[in-house]
Amino acid sequence: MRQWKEESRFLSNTAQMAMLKPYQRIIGMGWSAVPLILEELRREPDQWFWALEAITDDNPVPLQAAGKVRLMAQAWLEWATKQGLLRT
Amino acid sequence: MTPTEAFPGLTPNNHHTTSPASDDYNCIAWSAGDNENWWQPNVFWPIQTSPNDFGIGVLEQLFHALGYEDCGLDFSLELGIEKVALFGNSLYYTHSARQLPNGKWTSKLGKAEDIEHDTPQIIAGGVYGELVQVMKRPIPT
Repeated sequence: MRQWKEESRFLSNTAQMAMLKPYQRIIGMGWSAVPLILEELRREPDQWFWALEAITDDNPVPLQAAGKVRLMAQAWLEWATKQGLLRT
Repeated sequence: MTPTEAFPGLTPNNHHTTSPASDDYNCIAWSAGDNENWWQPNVFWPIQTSPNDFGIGVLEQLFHALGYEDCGLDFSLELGIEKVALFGNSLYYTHSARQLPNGKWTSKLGKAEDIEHDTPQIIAGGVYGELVQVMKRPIPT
């Protein structure tokens, strides 16, 4: 995760960020990566939404939160709590 | 990746930092005058796009929808006109920068800081690929 953060620091296109090898490796881990991503999202909101959507095939972000990174993170964390994937 | 690796044309003499780092907004938002949203096709984007299209054409369409017209690679200062510079590579749009009233340019560098830089080309040639297009519109009144 740290490597991806480092490599994506200056990027703005989320698709480009998601194609970086460290990010692809995380997606490749499948569901086992989800708790790690969620913990990271709770620690520091970042563009992990692409990975979460790819792995879980879900998207709990309401329309009014789209584009607002902190609200998007919050929506995923609430989703994860409801799913029992994250302790409050 | 250091700024020097990412932007080989950036030197201490041709730019300065104008904001703290923030991952709340990106360069596209900043070019469009928004510092509250991360603009991304299919997430937060004012126009409809194809689901898997993240190329330079999508960015051109966006700024066209915001009232900008293509002006080639003319990044000179024109009275009453504001310009944006679009960057990309063969796969993706990578960046946009906005001209300031003083003729210099402002860029949000991904999740990092905003900078003011002398010309658009200064930030080309590294992670942003090439300066592909400049677009202009009358400054909204």
